[in-house]
Amino acid sequence: MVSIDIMGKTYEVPDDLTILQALWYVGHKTIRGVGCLGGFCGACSTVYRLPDEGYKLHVGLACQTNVIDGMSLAQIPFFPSKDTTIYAETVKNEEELLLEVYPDTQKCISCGVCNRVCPQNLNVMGYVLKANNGEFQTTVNWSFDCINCGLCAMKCPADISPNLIARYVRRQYALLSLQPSRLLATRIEEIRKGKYDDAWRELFADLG
Amino acid sequence: MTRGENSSPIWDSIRRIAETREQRLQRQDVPLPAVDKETMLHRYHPDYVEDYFAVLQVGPNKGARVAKEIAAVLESPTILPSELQPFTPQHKADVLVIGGGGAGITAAIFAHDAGANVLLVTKLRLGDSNTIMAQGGVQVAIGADDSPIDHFQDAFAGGGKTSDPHLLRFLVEKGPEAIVWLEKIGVIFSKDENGEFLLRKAGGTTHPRVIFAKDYTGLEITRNLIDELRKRDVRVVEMMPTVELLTDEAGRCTGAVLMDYDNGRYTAVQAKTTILATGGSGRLHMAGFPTSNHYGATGDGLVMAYRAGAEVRDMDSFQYHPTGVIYPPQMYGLLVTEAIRSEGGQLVNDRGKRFVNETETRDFVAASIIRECREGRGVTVESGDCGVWLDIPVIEKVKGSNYLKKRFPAMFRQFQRFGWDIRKHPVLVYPTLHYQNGGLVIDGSGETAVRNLFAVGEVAGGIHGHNRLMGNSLLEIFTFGRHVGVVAARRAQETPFGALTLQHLEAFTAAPRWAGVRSPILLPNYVRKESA
Ligand SMILES: Cc1cc2nc3c(=O)[nH]c(=O)nc-3n(C[C@H](O)[C@H](O)[C@H](O)COP(=O)(O)OP(=O)(O)OC[C@H]3O[C@@H](n4cnc5c(N)ncnc54)[C@H](O)[C@@H]3O)c2cc1C
Ligand code: FES
Repeated sequence: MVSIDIMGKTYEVPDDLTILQALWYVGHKTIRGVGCLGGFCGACSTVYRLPDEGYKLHVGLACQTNVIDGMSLAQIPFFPSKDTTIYAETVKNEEELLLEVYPDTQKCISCGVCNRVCPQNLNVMGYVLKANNGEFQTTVNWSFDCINCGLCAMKCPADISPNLIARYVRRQYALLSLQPSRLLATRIEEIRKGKYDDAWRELFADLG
Repeated sequence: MTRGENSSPIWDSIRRIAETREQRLQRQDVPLPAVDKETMLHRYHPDYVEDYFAVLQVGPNKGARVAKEIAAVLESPTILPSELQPFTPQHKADVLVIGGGGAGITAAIFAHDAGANVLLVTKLRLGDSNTIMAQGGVQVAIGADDSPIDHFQDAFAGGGKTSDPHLLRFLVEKGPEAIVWLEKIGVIFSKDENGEFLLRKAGGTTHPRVIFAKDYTGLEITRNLIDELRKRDVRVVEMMPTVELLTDEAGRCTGAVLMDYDNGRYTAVQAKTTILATGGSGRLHMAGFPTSNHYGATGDGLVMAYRAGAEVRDMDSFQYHPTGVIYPPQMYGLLVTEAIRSEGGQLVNDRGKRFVNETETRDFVAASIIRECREGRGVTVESGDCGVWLDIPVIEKVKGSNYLKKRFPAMFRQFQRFGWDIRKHPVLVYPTLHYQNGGLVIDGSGETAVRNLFAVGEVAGGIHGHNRLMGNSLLEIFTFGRHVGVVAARRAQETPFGALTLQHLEAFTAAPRWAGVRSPILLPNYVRKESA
């Protein structure tokens, strides 16, 4: 058993539980702060401190973090951020627009706190700086595994929301730069032109 | 870092697996057990254990055999307090969409684009769903020597020839257009240097046909769908589960009652048409099995629609994914994707021996694992759960180091977080409840027997028959989501608002045989008994 402190109350719980399992163990009926239970949805962001570490604030996903003896924790199921759904029409203005809709992209002070908190171990600061340089494809690759938990936004001293910038850049990149699949287009054309109609008739005749 | 390596029975067993690894490198076919496939399923697959089932005593499917947990929620009294009527609607919409997973969001977008005024309501946050968890990918027949016909035949055979052929044909014929749309809205799939989709082979199929976005397929699609929805003028209400449907004097669906999680208040929505997209039911834990499903997969849509007069089908058939995690315990129920076995991962019992050909169909592999445990060749952990080893390290022995981390970043991370290095250690697995094969009976436009009530996604049945193949459900939710959204919007144009009553609940007041159950369940209760 380990001793943990959940939002001000201390409990004894088995040592092989996740934080979420520990909440259930002590009797919390969780409604917010839980979604997929598998590390994909980012609903279960949690902050905690460990004993004897002074100021240090750790973050993690409650469904993906083991309890630690002496930890003191609180859940942050929602983090308000400014969101946009405006996208550029041409490759030329996509960079300008990024700075218009997310002017904070330029405020990065390269402290690297975001990299330390990311539960996916992404190079968050790296992709923000790349976005700032207009290297969208790199931002796409480096941020692809982001689950949008918002922990980076919570810790950023410059109030940047890296997760939203990344989503914006991925969408913008895909909307303007992706080449649609030829195989797929060919197959749709074949279906429309009736290439399989006879085979369908036969098949359905057999089915009766 | 690896958690407490010591002399516990588990670690003894893990060492046995390591010792036999070299000998097992050349994976050869395991001789089939003395019994044939059918007998094996009948003896060990949960779908065949009569104790797990009950015959429905009320409602449209009276007399049908369904899982006990399903019977309990379908037959029990509502959680709604009776004094709520009459209802004054707080919201009005042409089309009400219930459920914020892939099927619901897609349907809402298409209903909106077809000119309807749309309200989407969901139980947790928008996107918290089974859809976001999908790792494997989407089936679509685009290979040069593949065809919609082959796709149909694979799915039809895989489902034991019990699929509705017309629904299935619609899926494979219209599926490719849904994928074009996903690309158009910005979904980034994994592609080769020529910009063509990379293709994987799913169990039980004749061609490589699964497209994917690393092992974050559902996440990548969901976040794009959410953004597309937010671009539109669609009202979204989160953290407000729907608890009952509303019907008029003729039994047509006219809206729904929602419950606000923050203050416990009930709200009525009046809608011309309603689309149910509430997903599956894994969190009812059929026959006590663990589940891979998200927290809100409690079969609410089935319950509400059944009470309103919709029929269900195949609710005695569930997909048990053979490899759900038992140990490490923090990952209980979570999935180890089928791709691990396609890539050479081996199933090994406590004695260090393989006992099944890993690429057999899911039902057969699941039955084989259950057999090992029942006959004492499994590994039992402290909690009392039994499992067999999925030897993942053997993959890198063949394919070289770093292969796992590159091909399966999501999975590598999941285990690493609990100090479990899948490059070095096997994982203890047991079948986990993964997919609801059956669901509400729908016609070609997704409508249930209740007029103006449509169903789409995992809550609907018929497309996959008794067994869904990997990748076909994602294809389903987008293909049918697009279609049903448009049909429901058109129907709304010719439909007036109707009266809001709960008269359909009257048939469900008979003496309950499931003590203490009230439904819909909304969320599972995992609070430890002694702590409550
Ligand atoms: C771990 C995992 C991996 C998978 N991998 C694959 C794969 O690789 N390929 C594939 O094809 N399929 C896969 N599947 C299956 C597939 O993801 C699902 O079948 C599909 O996404 C279901 O979509 P849906 O929109 O119908 O339901 P969901 O995505 O589950 O959405 C249902 C929504 O309804 C909401 N809801 C539930 N009850 C209520 C209520 N009472 N009121 C309001 N809202 C409610 C839920 O909260 C949720 O938002 C996987 C499933 C899981 C669990
Ligand atoms: S509940 Fe989805 S990431 Fe933890």
